[in-house]
Amino acid sequence: MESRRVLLLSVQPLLSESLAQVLGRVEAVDLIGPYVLKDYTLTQLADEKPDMVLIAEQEDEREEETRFVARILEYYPNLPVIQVGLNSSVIRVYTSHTLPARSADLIDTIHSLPSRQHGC
Amino acid sequence: MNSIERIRVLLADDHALFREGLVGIISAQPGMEVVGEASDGLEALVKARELAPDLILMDIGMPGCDGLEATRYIKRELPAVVIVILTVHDEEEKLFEAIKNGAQGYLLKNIRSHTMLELVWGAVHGEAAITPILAGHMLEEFRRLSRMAPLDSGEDVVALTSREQEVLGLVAAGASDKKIADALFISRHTVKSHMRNILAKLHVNSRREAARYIRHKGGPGLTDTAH
Repeated sequence: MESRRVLLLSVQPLLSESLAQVLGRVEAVDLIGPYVLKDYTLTQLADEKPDMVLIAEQEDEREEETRFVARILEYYPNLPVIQVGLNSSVIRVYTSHTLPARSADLIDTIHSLPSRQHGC
Repeated sequence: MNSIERIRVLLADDHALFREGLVGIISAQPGMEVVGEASDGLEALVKARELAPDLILMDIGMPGCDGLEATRYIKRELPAVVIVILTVHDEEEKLFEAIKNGAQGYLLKNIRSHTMLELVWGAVHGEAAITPILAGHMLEEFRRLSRMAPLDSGEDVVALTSREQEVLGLVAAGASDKKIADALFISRHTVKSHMRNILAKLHVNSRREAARYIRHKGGPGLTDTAH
């Protein structure tokens, strides 16, 4: 199996250490970090070239993380971001992909996304 | 207390991924082993009875029976088990309730694993697993309690202000500090300040006791004479 380079950024040290423990045992995962999120720069991101970013977050104080995620998505639109927090037992995944700006692609995209009337 | 050679640990936390990582962190310690896991308070009680661990690391926010209640039940049945709360809740009331229920420590999940391990090791050997900041809150609370008259001394309860009554009404309805702050357009800091005053005036130790007291007295109907 092809290895995945996962950059682990930490707002919650014990959570990030837990994630590092779990992922450290997985053969096909090449873990980079953990690094403290507030000290991490987009320049470092360019140097590390991860396949994805995993953020161990503090859900009560998300402003800094949200800004950082927004910057990643702006400068590295094809880089998936995964957030794990302690307040909710879910993993949130942000991905984006680009399509040609044609009406057919736009309409297909709209139809392919789920309707909220049927839950999401 | 006799020295324990290998600490047998039960982990109680509903966050499966975090719990799995914690198993790895603890299992890597030569003097510790994880003997069981639970994802809610009742399961923690069942597993504690079955496994008789030396130490339980107990989350608070779990479905059904939360960690504070589970601590009380477990300590009642198995007084020798050491319970250390490990939580995201940096709230004085939860800290005080945990200690009253028999917890040997209260740790926030924003600490590093090596600090956590040092403190829980100490807890198993009779020390308090608590950071200096939370210890400071405890000292403040003891000072406050020492200034309070006992409830059965016949001393009158000082009347609550209208704002305090509003806060207490929301507390009795189960609202968190954040929900109260949002509902009343005040800061969480102000909510905590009101709660401290309410607890002092009602001569109770926790929001749960305050809510129970007011329900028993028939609603926050104390007239507004104080401010």
